Amino acid sequence: MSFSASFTAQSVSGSNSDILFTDSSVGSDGAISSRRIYAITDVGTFLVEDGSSLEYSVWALPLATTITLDLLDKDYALKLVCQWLNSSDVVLYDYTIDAQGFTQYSENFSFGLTQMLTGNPMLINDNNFAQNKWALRDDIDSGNQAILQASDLYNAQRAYDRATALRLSSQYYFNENS
Amino acid sequence: MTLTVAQIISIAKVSQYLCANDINKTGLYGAGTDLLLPRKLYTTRKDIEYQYSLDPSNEDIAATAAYLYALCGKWGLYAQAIVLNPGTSGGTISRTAPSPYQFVVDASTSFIIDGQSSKTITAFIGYNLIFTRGGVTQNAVDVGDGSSYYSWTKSTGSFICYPSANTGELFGLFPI
Repeated sequence: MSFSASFTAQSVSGSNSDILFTDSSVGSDGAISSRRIYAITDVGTFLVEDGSSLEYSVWALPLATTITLDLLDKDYALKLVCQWLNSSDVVLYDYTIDAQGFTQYSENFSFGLTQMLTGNPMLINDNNFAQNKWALRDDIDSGNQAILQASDLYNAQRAYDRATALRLSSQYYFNENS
Repeated sequence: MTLTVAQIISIAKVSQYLCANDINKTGLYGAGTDLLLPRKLYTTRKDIEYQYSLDPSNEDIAATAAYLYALCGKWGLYAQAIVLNPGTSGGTISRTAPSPYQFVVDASTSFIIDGQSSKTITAFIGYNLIFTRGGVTQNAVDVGDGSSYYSWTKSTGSFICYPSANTGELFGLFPI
C-alpha cells in the first residue's frame, strides 16, 4: 500500500512547554523503521528535549500515534519537519510545516491578566495595565499574522519575543494592585 | 437563559463593532462612552477565545466570560439579538385574502343589484381588486371609447362600476 506522509502539531492546554505531534499519514510502507522530528527556529537552531545531544527528536513507531515533546522554554515560531526512514537511516518520506506559532506562554499569561481583571474589574481603567496588555496582545497577533500571511519565522519570532519580554518583566508592566 | 461561553464570545465580537460604530457616530468623546472599550473587548475576548479553543471545559473560562459579557455593556444586548437570532431578515406577514364575490345581478337580492353602480366593500379594504363583468376583465381607467370600467379605492373599500349593473350580468369581484 502506498504511503502519504503527513503530521500535525499543536499546543497542549495547561502545559506551556509541550507540543503534541500527531501522525496523520495515510497508508503504510513496510520499509519504514524509524521516524524523526526536527523543530527548527528562525535562526536555524534545533529545539530538542533537555538531555538530548541530537538535532532531532525520535518518534517511535508504530505509525498512527501521537507524541508529546517538551521543547519550548518560551514562545516560538518554528519550522517543523518529520522524516520517515528505513533501517539504513535513509529518508523515505518527509513532511514539512513551513511555519507554525506556539504562543502558549503568552496566551496563558494574557489569560491570567484577564482573570485578574475579572477579580478586580476596575483594574482595566489603569492605563498602564491596559496599554501593556494591549501591547502584549498586539505582539501575539503580529507574530501569528507574520506566520499566517508569509510563513515569516524571523518577524514572527521578533514579535513573540516582545511578548515574552513583557511577560518576563510583568512586575514592571502589570500592577495588579492598582 | 444562561449564555454559553461560545455565545458570549460571539456576542463580544459583535459588541466590539457596535460599540466602535456608536463611538464614531456620537461625536466628540463618544458622548461619554469609554473610547477604548472596543479594544478592551477585543483583547479580553481573544484571551478567552484562545483558552476556549484549547480546552472548552476549562473551569476558569466561565468566570472570565461573564466578565467579558459585563464589559459588553448595552451593546451586549444588541449583539445578543443579532447573534442568537441568525438568519432572520425582516418578517413576512402571512395573510389570507377574503373570499371573492361572484354573482348574477338581479333586481333585489344580489350583492350589487340592478341599477346600482357603487358599493362599499369593507371586507376587501387593504386589497387590490380585479373586477370581471360577463367573464371579461374590466379596465380600471376610462379609455373614453364608451367601454365599461370601474374604480376601486382600497383604503376605503369604495367600488364604482360604469355603467351601472344590469339584471342578468355576471359580476366577479376578486381581492388580491
